[in-house]
Amino acid sequence: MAPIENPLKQIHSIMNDENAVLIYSGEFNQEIVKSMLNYTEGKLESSGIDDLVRKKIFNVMVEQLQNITKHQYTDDEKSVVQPCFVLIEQENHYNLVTGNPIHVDTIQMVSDRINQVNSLNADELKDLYKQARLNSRISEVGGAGLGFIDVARKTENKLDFGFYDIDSANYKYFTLKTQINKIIQ
Amino acid sequence: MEYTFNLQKLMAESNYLLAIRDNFESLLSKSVFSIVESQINNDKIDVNIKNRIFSVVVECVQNICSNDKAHSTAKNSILLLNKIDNGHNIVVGTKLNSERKSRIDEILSEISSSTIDELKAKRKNIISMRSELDETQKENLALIDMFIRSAGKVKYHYDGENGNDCFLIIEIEISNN
Repeated sequence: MAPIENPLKQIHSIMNDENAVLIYSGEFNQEIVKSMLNYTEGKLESSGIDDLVRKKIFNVMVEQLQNITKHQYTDDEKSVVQPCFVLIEQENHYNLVTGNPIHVDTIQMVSDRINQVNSLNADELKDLYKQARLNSRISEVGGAGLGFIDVARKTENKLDFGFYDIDSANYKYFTLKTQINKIIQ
Repeated sequence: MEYTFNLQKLMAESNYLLAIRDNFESLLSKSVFSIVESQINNDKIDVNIKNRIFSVVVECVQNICSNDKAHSTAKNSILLLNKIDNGHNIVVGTKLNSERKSRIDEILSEISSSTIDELKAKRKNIISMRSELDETQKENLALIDMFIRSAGKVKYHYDGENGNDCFLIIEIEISNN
């Protein structure tokens, strides 16, 4: 029997190495988001982790998936690049990773905003969040700035991010990784 | 974090939509079905084809992935859904010990050499004694079902043989016509 082609082996190997349990790559819509949330909810229920942590993971995941759904690639350019979501289960924490193409014009702004969020402590984040809400400041990327603050507050961990070159003059691939500890400190 | 980018590239280049690595215990199975269902509902394909895809996924999850009772918490199985030119591929991979490997290998060899009509007759025969099905018969029925629903478009191989264990990968193609 001929071996099944290589990408499958590579995907499986990366999933094993990174402890990824779920990868979705493609168009994001309400139905897909709902089913992924259901899957994660079932997974967390069966793992027996604390209710508070479960709620936290769920809320952060909602925020990240909503962002992807809102900001997915709508350019006319033909590309194999797709938005994606990866759920990673490590021994002491979960990682939620999202990836989607981002217009080069917004990279600096997104990067500055995440770096700002990462530089603040919990009280400062709370103030920034209040201020952003009071000012109803909706950023050019549709409020994602507020989303970053919210996610950083909920996870109590720094946001990890990167931009990768894709075959496009106007877009790069933006990945955002959040970490939620299984045990609340 | 480059792995996310690489994973996405691998997935997108080969049209993989979904990859789940887990132990597929029963509580999770429902959620897995729900993801697959929402994914195939997205596609404009005939309802009969959707049912075939869904049934194969159910067999994969319930009888191939979740059969490792000895390591029920280990994430020893993987399920992928892949869109191809004229249909979908369902790929299932699971770790087998030597005993299960020889059992499944025997079943797969026998099924591969049978015609669809012979498989239908075998299935009928197994179903008629449904109340007494043991693990082997369940696996047998699941694999027969995969072959029938895909009209025989099933490929399989063993990977990463390591002492007593190996990794079985089965790829089932469901075409749109």
